[in-house]
Amino acid sequence: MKDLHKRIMLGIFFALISLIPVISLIIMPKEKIVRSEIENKTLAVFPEFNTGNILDVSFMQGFENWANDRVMGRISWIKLKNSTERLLGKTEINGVFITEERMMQAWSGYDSEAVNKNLDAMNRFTERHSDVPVYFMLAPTALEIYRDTLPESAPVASQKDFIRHCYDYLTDITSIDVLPALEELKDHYIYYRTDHHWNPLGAYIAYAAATPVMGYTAAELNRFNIESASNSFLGTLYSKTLDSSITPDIINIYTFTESEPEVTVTVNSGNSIEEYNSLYFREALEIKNKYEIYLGLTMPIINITTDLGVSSGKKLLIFKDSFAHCLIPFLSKNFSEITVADMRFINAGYDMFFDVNEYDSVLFIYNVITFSEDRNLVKLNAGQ
Amino acid sequence: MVFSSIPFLFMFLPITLGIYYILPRRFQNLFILLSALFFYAWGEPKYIFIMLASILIDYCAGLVMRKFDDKQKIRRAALLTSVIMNITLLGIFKYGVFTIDNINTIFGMDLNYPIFSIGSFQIPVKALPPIGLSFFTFQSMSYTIDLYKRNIKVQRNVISFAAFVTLFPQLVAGPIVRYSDISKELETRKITLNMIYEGILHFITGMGKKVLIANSIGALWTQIKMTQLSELSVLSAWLGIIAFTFQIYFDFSGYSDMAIGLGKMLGFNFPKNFDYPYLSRSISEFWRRWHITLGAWFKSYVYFPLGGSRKGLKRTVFNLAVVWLLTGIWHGASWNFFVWGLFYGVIIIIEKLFLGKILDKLPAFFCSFYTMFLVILGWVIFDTKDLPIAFGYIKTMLGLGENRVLTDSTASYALLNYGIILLVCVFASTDLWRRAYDYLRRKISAENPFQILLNYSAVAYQTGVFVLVIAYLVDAGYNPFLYFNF
Repeated sequence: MKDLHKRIMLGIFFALISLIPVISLIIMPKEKIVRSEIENKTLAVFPEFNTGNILDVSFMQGFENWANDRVMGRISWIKLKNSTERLLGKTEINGVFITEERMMQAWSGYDSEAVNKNLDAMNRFTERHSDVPVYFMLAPTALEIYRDTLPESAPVASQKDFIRHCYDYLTDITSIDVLPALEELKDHYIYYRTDHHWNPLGAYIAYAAATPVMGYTAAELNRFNIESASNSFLGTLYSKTLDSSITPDIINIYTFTESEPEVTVTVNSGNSIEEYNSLYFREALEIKNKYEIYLGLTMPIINITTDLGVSSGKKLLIFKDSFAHCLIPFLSKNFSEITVADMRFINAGYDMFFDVNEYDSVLFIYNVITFSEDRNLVKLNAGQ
Repeated sequence: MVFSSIPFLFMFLPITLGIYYILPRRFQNLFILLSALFFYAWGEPKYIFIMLASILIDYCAGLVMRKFDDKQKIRRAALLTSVIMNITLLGIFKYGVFTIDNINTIFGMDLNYPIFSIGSFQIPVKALPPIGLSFFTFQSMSYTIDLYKRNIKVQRNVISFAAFVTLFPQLVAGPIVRYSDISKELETRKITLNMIYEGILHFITGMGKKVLIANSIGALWTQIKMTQLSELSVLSAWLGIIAFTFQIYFDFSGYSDMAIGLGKMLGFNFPKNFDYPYLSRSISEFWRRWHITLGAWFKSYVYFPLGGSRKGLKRTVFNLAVVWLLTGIWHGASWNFFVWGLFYGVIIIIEKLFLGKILDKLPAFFCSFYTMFLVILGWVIFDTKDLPIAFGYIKTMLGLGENRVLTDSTASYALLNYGIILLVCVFASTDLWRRAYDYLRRKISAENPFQILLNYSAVAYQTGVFVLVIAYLVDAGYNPFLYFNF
């Protein structure tokens, strides 16, 4: 047939622009709210249709977000885009560096005014509780430890300098420097390859560095039995890039070889309280974000009581981000009661949850990136 | 609505084309109008009234001119009304905020921006004009002016006239289609397989230019533009503005290609808007190849009526200056665009006076270098926040700025991440690809099996580009609309 190739082109074009939307609509889940586990995000919902929304164009913007999120084969499209980008020589995709070994969350610097506000808030908190020792562990992320694997010119700020700045700024808070120990053991598997967290071994190194500063003795590593609960963990950085070139991560669980103490974990989500009798939430192994095995999702308050077999056990209060989650199991070997507060979810002051004076120590645990972007620590002084 | 978006591609386009192809011919113009109003309202629901006002004024002016065909004074009054009303709309909604800001600064006054209200419905004057204002007012004016000059016949059908002005492919970012370009097609048009095929090729090429090339390289400029001048190295400055040089070309010519392609799918032939402008060997030539329809508009409706180059040297220089200042501020209400227009005006006057003749005798590579150097400097003025930054940036490029460091890690990282895409840009802004393809077509006879291979590789290539475009649109990242100033 004459001009067959033209007819084929027409066929392809019209098939793509009409079949993709029709099939997308047909296979679209009926529920209003849909989560994309692999991307670790909730897909946009259909916008409300009314005159106000139309006049200020928010309906159209909402529609566009909804349409983008609900296109059939969305994940494959994104993967296609990201592999093209990598083919074109991009080393950074959606805020994530990808090297041969691993993915690392990008961080090019910080707003010193906002950071100093956080530090001021911590100083004020410490002044108010001068009889309780306060410690601060500012953990570097994989980006700092494995910076040498990136192109030299990559726009990466020094976390070492940032940590120095923060520690120098604080007045009565004892700093716990974990960077040198992590740096020294960087050849071991201490950070996840596809997630922005460190793993339990990285956390253990930090724990071993922290305990002497706080006046305790670390439980030796050889007392722990290491169980590989999963070797198919694809973390948050994978969700951002959907790049399959990096080996999936291993989820390890650390328990004492002889007589793991009994624990009770209460998780207060603000609306409900749930109780667990293990430091590891194994049901997380069934979901995509397997890091939740370490004390679950970030919640306002978590309480951990451990039967350490001593009459007057020590009590620890932690203010933290999610880096603390895989460190806390180790700390529970030294403190019979740990209260974990996440200021990102506590708005009306923490007094309703605990009294700081009842604790033997207060520990702030943050990673550099979260801490530099955090705007919630000022709430430490809410209502004071 | 913009072409490079999922709602356009997967909702508006299939529905519009589907209905359009089924509809009987006599309803097609009405359907074009309705779909174009939807298309426009999707991005500017409030300001659609300005477009409707412009259409109505020019349509009525046309009827008046027809009715009083032998009364020159009335015809002239109708023309003046149309032109003055359109320019007033531009003056208020495009230059209003800029003018008031400058009056307030210069005279220390405190004037407020006007708000127009119809009942409880309010249309405020914003800093940014309604989308496409500069395009549709110019298109609409081309009708009344040509009618006055008796170059075209009156359009009695208000739907056909409104369909011409709102014709969605060219509504928001050109090309500036004149009434005379498509007056015949408004009445009778035939849509052939060939036209739709060509339309699809243009559309996909344009999409590829915009989504794959312009957006990718634009990210580099966005990043460098944010750098403080005191921290900007010479090489970074050059890389940044070269990135914008490619971004604006692939973005703008991509939009024009998409418009031309969509026009063809609807049965219209729009004029060409870009002709490999970065291959030019003088600034005058550059402007004959860049945004061709705008230059042609100013030439026909400003430069020639003022006397063009036929009224002596002084008058020619004056006429050129007027045209180029207008061209400058057509691109937006700011001092940058004013100076940018002036910059080109001065160069073109100099080329006209003597430089053009000298350039003719110089080697081609030198002329290309001269042209691109000035064009790139021009883009600095065009796309920086204000004039001090523009001049500071140019100083840095020339090694005379605050920071005289030749290169830094930003520059090497940019080369690492954008090196390949930069090469693609250089290659794609020349006509090498086109010439190679045309050469092969001519050399290989129609019966030759290689001809079939060539045809199918073109189909495979276009399909590949289109699939990539969809992938880039789904993962909506950086996808700016650059013509909000126009």
